[in-house]
Amino acid sequence: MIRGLIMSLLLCASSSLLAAQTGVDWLTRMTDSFDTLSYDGVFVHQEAGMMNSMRVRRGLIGGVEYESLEDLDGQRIAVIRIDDSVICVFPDVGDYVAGVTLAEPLRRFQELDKDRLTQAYDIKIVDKSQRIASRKAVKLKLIPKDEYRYGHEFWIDKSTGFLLKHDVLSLDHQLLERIQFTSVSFAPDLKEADFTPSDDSYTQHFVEVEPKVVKRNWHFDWLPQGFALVWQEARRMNDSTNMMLLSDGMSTVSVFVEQTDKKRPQTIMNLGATIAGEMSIQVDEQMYLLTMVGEVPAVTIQRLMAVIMPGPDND
Amino acid sequence: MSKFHDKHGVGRDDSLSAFLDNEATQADIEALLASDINVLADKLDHYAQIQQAIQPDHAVLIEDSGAFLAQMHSKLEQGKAETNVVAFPNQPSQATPPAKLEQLELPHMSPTAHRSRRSLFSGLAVAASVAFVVVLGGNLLLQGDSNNTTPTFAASTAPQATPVEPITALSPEEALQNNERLQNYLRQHAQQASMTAGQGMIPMAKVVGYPQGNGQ
Repeated sequence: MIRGLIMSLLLCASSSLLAAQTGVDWLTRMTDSFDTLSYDGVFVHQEAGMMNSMRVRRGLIGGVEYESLEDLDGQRIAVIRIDDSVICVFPDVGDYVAGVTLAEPLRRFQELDKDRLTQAYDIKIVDKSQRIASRKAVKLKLIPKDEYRYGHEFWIDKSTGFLLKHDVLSLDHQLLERIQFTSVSFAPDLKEADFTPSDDSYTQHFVEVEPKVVKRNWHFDWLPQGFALVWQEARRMNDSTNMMLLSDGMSTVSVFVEQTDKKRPQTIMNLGATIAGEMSIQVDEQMYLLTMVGEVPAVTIQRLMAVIMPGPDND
Repeated sequence: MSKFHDKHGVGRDDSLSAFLDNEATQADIEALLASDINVLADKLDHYAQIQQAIQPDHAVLIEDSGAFLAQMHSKLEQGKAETNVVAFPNQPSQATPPAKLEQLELPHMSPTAHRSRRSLFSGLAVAASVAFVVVLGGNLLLQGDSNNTTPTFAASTAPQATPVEPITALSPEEALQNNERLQNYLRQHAQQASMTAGQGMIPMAKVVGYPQGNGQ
C-alpha cells in the first residue's frame, strides 16, 4: 500500500518534470530562477563591439534577501539591493553626480507573459546537450514571427533553470548582444560582509518610491503583433517628461514625451541592439519631443514614430 | 568603460556617406582610398540591410558591395585628380543637396572636448559614457521627402514610415545635452526592461554598465 503510494507520487513528480520541458516552460523556469535561487556568478556582457565582465550574487541571509551586481571592469560600480533598499557604490565621490536616479535596478522580473510571447515568437528547444560554464544546458530559440523584433537564443541550466547564456540576433542572424556566464555557483557561501561597500568607496542609497502615474495623452494607431502598453497610464519622469512602455513579453520599447520649444529633426540612432529614435511633433501650439528607445530593429521604431497619436486610446 | 565606439570611424562613415550622396570632396576620396575595403563593404551591407528593412519594396541599394567597392577603388585611383567623382553619375541632380548620413560627434570622443565635458559636468564618469550613433538621419537610404516641416498629426492609421528629415549639425553644447538626455532615457529604459521582460541579465547589466551620473 505504502509502496504503491510512493510509486504513484514518484510518477506524478516525474510527469510534472517532463511537462516542464516545453520552450515556454523553460523560459518560465528561467525567469523564476533569478529570484528563487542563491547564486554567485561572473558573466560577460558583449554589446556594440565592447565587452564587460560583471559579477552577480544573490542569497538569503538571516531571512533577508541580498543581491548585488558589480561591474568588474573599469570603475567597479556596483549596485546592492538589501530587501527593498538599494545602494549604488562608486569607487569615489567624484564618480557620482547628484541627480542620478536609480530606482529598482534589481527588482524581480514580472511574470512571463506566455500568450504575448507566443504571438510574437516561435519558441523551440533546439539542443538539449549544450555546455556553458561547465554546466549542462538546454538551448532555446525564440524566432521572431515578423521583422519588428530581434531573435533570441537562450542557454538554460538543465538542473536549475538558470540563464547561462543569451544571444540577441538581428533578422539576418548577426549577433547584436550577448550575455554569457563564465562561472556560477548555486551554493554560494554569502555573508553580509559580501554586500557591504568598502570604507573608501562612495555610496548612494536609494529608496524605492511609487512611480507617479499621470494621464496618458498618446496612443498608437498600430502596434506590431504581440506588443501592448505595459502600463495603462503614463509615468511622470520629471516636470516636463512622461514615459510609456511597450512590450511583446521579450522586447521593450520605452517612449518618452517631453514638451519642447525647439523643433528637432527625426533621427534614428543605435547602440548595439538598442535603437533610439527622436522626432518633434506639434500638437496645436505645443511642440513635443518624442524619444523611443528599444531593443528592436530600426524599422519598428520608424513605424511606431509614424503612428503615435495624441489621445488616450490603446485600452 | 566606454560602451560604445564607432567601429568604422567617424571620418570613414562621413566620407562614404558623402560619396554615396555625390558630395565627396578630395579629402573624402583620400579617406576612402585609405580605408579597408572589407570594412567599407560591411558598412555598405549594413546600409543596404537597413534600407531593405525599412523599404522592402525598393531596389537594393548595392547588390554586391565588395565588387562595387573594388570598382570604386579602381575608379577613384584612376580619377584621383578629378574633383567631381560621384557614386551614381546618372542620378538626377537635386535642387537642394541631399542630407548626409551624419555621425553625432560627441565631445567625449575627442581628447580636446573630453576636458570640456569634465568641466561642464564635474565629476561625471567620463569613461563610463555611452553614445548612440546616428544610423538614419538623412535621405540617403530612406528617400524621405525633402520638406522640412515638422510632422503633424493626420488621421492616418497606416503603419507607414515617417518622412525622415535631414540631420542638422548640432553644436557641441547641443550634442552634449542631447547625449546626456539620451543616456538618461537609456538607463530608464534598461531599468524598466529588466522588470517587464524575461530577458534575464542583459537589461540589468545595462543598468549598472551605463553611466550613473547624468548631470540633470
